[in-house]
Order: sequence, then C-alpha cells, then structure tokens
Amino acid sequence: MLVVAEPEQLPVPQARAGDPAAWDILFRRYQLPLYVYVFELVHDEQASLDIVQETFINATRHLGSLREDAKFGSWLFGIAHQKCLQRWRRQGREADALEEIAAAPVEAVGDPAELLVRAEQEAAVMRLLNQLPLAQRSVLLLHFVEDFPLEDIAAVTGTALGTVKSRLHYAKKALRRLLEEEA
Amino acid sequence: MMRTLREVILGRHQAAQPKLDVIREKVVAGLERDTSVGAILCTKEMDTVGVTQTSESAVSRVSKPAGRWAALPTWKSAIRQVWKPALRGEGASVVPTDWRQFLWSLRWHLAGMSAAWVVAVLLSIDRTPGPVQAAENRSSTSPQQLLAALRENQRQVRELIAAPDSESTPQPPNVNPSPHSQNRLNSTREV
Repeated sequence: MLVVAEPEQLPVPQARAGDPAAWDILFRRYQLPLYVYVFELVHDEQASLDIVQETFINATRHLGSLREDAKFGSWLFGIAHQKCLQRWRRQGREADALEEIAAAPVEAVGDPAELLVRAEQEAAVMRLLNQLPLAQRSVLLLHFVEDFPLEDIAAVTGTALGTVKSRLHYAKKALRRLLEEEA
Repeated sequence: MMRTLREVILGRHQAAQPKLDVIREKVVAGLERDTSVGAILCTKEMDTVGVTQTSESAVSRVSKPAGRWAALPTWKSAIRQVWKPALRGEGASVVPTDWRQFLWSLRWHLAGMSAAWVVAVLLSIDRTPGPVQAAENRSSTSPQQLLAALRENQRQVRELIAAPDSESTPQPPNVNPSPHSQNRLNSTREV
C-alpha cells in the first residue's frame, strides 16, 4: 500500500535551499504516480522513464518558479505534461493531444475513491482507460491517481476549468457504464 | 476484493519502481555533486578573499544550470554515455573529476573567447604602425625637400604681406537705381 504524504509535510522549502535529501524525499513520493501518468499517456516505457528523468531535472532547475509550496505536486505533473505534449508534437500527434470535446452538462465530480473496482474488472478498466481520448485520459488520471483539485488539473493540462469538468464527466460516465455492464 | 481506481492503476506499474529508483538516485547524486563543488568553490573564495561567508553561495551554485547536468548519464542518450567512463574513474578523487567536467562543459565558451582574443590581437597588430615604421616615415623627407618647402612658405608669406600695397581694392560699381517715376517716364517716351 502506497502511503501518500500530505502536501504540508513535503520538504519543499528544504529543496529550495538545495538540500539533496529533501529532493530525494520529494522524488520518492512522486516518482511512481508521475511515471504512471506519463506511461498511460505515451504508452512507451523507455520514453516514460526519459520523461520522468527530464521532469526531475527540470524541477531541480526551476523550483524558483513555484510560487506555492503546497502546489509542488501539480507543478511537477505540469512539467511532465508539457514533456508529453512536446513528444506528441514531435510525433505529429498534437491534434490528438489538444483535442477538445463538446461541452457537456457538468455534474458533481465526486471523490476519486467512490469508484471501486473489483479484481475481475481491473483489466477491463485499464483497457477502457486506454481507449479514452488523450485529453480525457489525462484528466481522469490526474483526478484518480493524485486526487488533484479541478483547478490544479486545469493548471497542469493548461485548459479551462469548464473543459476539465466536461472531460472528467465524459470519462467517468464511460467508466461507470463499463462497470455496470461488467456487474 | 474491491480496490480504488488509484490502487488499480498504481499497482499495475509497481514493476517500474527499481528503474525509477535508479533515476531518482542519479538525479539526487547530481545534486549532491553540485553541492559539493559549490561548497569547494565557496571555501576557495573564502580562502582567497578572507571574508566570512555563509553557505548561501554554495546553494546558489546549485541553481546555476550551466554544465550542471553535463556529466549526468541519462537514460538513453548516446552523447552522455560517453561520460560514463570518466565518471567511473577508479581511484580518482571526486574534486578533480568535477573540475574537469566543469571545464569540459565550458569548452566551447573558452574556445570562442580564445578565438575572439586572437582575432582582436591580429587586427590590432595589422592596424597599428610599429615604432620603427613610424620613425622611418618621419625620416623619409630629405633635407633638400624641407628647405624647398621652407622657401616656398617664405615666398607665400612675402606675397601676402606685399599684396595690400601693390593692389588697389576694387571699387564696387556705382549702381544708383533711378527712381520708379523716372522709369515710367522713360517707358512712355519709348512708346
């Protein structure tokens, strides 16, 4: 079971002071969620590891640009997201990456923990996740994996809050439908 | 057994943990190396200047991007792989290796600066006449030429002095315009 530290407990001020031990704690905390996020977007292990490493290096260089220490997590995911966008651009998949979907009636987003998955459904859920458009997948991962507030997800993905809400709405609807069918 | 979606997603990627640990350790090791170089530079500055400093300068060096990751072996970069043997130098102390890496990372800057200096020196040599050449230029006029020039000068001065006595100043022509009424009278007479 992975223990998630509260943002307040993260040693961001020490990392600002250049303490390698503080960076070690921060990286240890975020390395797997970051990798999962990147991997589920690019579907390439080697590229995902590259992006994670570049994200870590960029974070150590540009921590000065982070205004609120409590936003370290979303700031780090924002760097990784930009790296993914760069990769898509290189591959000519920018249209996919920046795909917009029609506005949907916005419903309450709810708690990420609400969506419980049975063991036999796991494979199907992951399959469905990979079938979602990149934009929806990105929002869904940030919501479920890191439980970021919608405002933070908007900041990470560089989209409007309404867009994030509608993407999440569509993605969750699709997941629920699948889970009901499986049940 | 029920799990949250978060647990499901993270659980499927647990196998990547060892590789992620390696990456994390490399990045943190790079930070530690930079910190140690910064601390050494800070100590050297203190030795030379003799002023008490806090560890802030060591920290600020960490934030400098130049050449910082030049020695960090990335996951797949062929260029940076070249550095691996240098990094793994057996028996070599950490400090000289870091200095070499530091200087190596600045090699293009140093080469450029050197080239600029060479060009500047060459240009200044070409344009500035040397002292021997200047002396030669000065001694190139012969005494006869000097004497002739002096005589010519004296002649011109004499002409200038004598000119007001010999020549009378030319008088301006006496142009007294006739009155306008006279002009009209003349024109009617002609008609």
